[in-house]
Amino acid sequence: MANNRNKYEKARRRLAAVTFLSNISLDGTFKDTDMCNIIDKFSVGVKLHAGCKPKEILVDINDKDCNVRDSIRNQKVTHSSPHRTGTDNNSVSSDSEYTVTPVKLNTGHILRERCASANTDSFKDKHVTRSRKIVSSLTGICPEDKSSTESLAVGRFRTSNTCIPEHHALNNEIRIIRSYKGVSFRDERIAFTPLQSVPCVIFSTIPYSKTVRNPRTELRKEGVRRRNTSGPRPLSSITDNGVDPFDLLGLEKEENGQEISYSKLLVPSRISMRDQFRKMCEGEIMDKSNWKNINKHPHVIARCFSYESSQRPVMASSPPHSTIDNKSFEWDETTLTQKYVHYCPNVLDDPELIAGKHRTLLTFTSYMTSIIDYVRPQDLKKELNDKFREKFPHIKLTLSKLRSIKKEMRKIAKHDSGGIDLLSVAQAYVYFEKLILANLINKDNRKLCAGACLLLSAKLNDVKGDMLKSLIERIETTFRLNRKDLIRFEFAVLVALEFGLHVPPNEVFPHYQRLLHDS
Amino acid sequence: MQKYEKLEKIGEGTYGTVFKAKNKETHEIVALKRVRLDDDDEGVPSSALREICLLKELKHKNIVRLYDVLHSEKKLTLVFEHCDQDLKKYFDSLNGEIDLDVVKSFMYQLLRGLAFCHSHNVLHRDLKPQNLLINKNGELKLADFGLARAFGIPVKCYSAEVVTLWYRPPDVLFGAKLYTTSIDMWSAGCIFAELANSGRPLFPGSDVDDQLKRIFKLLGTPNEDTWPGVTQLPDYKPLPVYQPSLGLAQVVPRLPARGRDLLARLLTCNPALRMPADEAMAHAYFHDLNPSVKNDRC
Repeated sequence: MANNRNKYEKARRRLAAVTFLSNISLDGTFKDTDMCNIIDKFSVGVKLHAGCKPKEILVDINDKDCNVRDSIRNQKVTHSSPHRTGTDNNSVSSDSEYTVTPVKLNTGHILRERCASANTDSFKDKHVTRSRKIVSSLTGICPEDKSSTESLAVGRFRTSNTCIPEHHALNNEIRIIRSYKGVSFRDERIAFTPLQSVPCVIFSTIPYSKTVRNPRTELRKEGVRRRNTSGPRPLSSITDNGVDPFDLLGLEKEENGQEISYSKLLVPSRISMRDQFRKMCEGEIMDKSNWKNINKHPHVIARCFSYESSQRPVMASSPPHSTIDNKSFEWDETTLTQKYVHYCPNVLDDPELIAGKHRTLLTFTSYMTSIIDYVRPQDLKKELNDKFREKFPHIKLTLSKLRSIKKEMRKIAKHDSGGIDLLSVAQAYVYFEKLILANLINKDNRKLCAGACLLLSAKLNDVKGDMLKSLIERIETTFRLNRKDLIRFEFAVLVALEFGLHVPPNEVFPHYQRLLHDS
Repeated sequence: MQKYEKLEKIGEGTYGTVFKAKNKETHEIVALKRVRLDDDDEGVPSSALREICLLKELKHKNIVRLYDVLHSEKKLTLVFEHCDQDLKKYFDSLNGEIDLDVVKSFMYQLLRGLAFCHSHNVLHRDLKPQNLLINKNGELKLADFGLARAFGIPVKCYSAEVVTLWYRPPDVLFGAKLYTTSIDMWSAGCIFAELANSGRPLFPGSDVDDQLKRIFKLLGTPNEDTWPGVTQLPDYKPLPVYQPSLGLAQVVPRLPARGRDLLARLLTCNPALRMPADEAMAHAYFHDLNPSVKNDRC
């Protein structure tokens, strides 16, 4: 008999040990560790296995239902706050003034509310009066429970709080618990337990969010390649009917020969830049969500936005010094403000965005080295595009598409018999990226706009005569568009850029440098 | 409904007709430049493009103001501030001698306008009396930015076919494809001398060679010592060696010594040594300038 008992005791301990060990999470996240232990402790005779699931716990509780009810009825209920290891005494003593928290013994419960509102319809809760105090321990461990698993719960529940003010709806069985002050139940698992008893209700709150419900984002999450559906009409049909560049760029246009005045666009960029900067300082619209708002207006070109990588090493954005003579005409006061209000050449097409996560950087005392694992080009492309989309969720163009268009622009410029210089290409990049940042580029107009940017830039850089003619021809063939559309887009792009083709050298230079480097 | 009423044709610009017109609402007199747009052509002419995009950024008392850009399907109209006459017409109306205070005032305003352009990374590249507008109040304004361009990042692809021959500097005459603000300073020097001589051009050359000879006759033929790198210029050709005549006093007899010193610093063959606009404004010649001109801020 004693032997038997001994054996049983041994088996029980081993089981407890196994349960404990197998529930230690390796990644530090909370699993059902505590629950398993409590169940282990209280439901003697119930066979447990390591991977015991919340559902099973609830069944156990169900068996103990009357017990719990008894204990609630009989005991002088105390109320405890969530405890950290070793701070139990403290919390118990300071708790008395807290209001009652309802106990939800409904094991077959339905969580009707998203958050912490409880449904108590099956349990006749009339015993629980307002004056009564009931234990509610979010960790699921009673303060007296000094089991070894206790510490595991601490990290997880550090921020939760049991002090939940209760609001009674008189003559109503539904009790509502509101989260109190800064306490939220987001991502928490909450258990209600009377003192020295099993938890009666365990639940998690799942944050409500539209994105979870949105099937498109689900698709995205599943890795389905997103097509850039940016316009209802296929390109071919547009070119047949003649494009309306102003429509495609979201600009107003003249009607039947009437002249449109653009006097409002003739404000110097630097003045408006300063205005924008002042506004930014006043309204502190420095965060991303706000510059998105700025960019919503089709006429406000994103020459000014802030983005953290604008604080990259200044090397790239410092104005180049003229080598002809020792004078360099800097954009005086703007050099001070450009960090915040300028278009930043490396933000959109980030030169750092080439390797993705497949790079391991090793920093040694005297040198740094990186190991770049082999990665399927397709995977890398997808990853970089994802990163880009994360950075610029409103842009209807993938990074790979942007880069391939820029490459094509480069190809057009390069020509054996009188190509155009790389500076014009770099400047065209600036125009094109500004259009993208202003959210004006879509699938239908991207090639036309890229071509128009190149054309505008070339014209301002002394490309004329036969060179200009052959450039237009190369744009037509490479981007497969017709001259008429290109010319019509030229003026539309000019307006979209607010006539701001005279861009400061520090916006062009990084592009120029990259082009020189790559050639 | 037209906003402007055409009054008279002022002239033919590089890319279209220029009219004097009146704003029907405000009765303001303006200058209209009409540019035809043709779908089958090369789009917006580059000169119109330059004027729009550069004048947008250049708002200054000594630079002609672009008020508006009107666009319709077939044409583009640029609406400019109207000035009564240009410097060329002003010279013609003088028939006699110019007041030296006026010379100083005009020269200072020219330099101030130029300094502003240069500080905004713009080269005018076509300075000449016809492109300097004068209004009733004696204000001088730089106009016609159809040949202007941005500078800043040096690339050897600037057009050498710039600036009317008489006002073209020797480095560009030798085919330099990379130049900077010095290109405008030479023209400013030529205009300075022309102002002092009541409208007689300084170097009225007939072709590039003649132009170079006229320049070198006055200033001496440059060599590798006075101008390192001159022989490397694309269109360099050895020309007869003239000794510097130092005859500025004969060329601009009415100009005082300080004025001649400033002129010599502007008319320097080696572009690297040519005086920039902001320094020229601080030259001793302008010390006794009428304060109303000097303090006139934009």
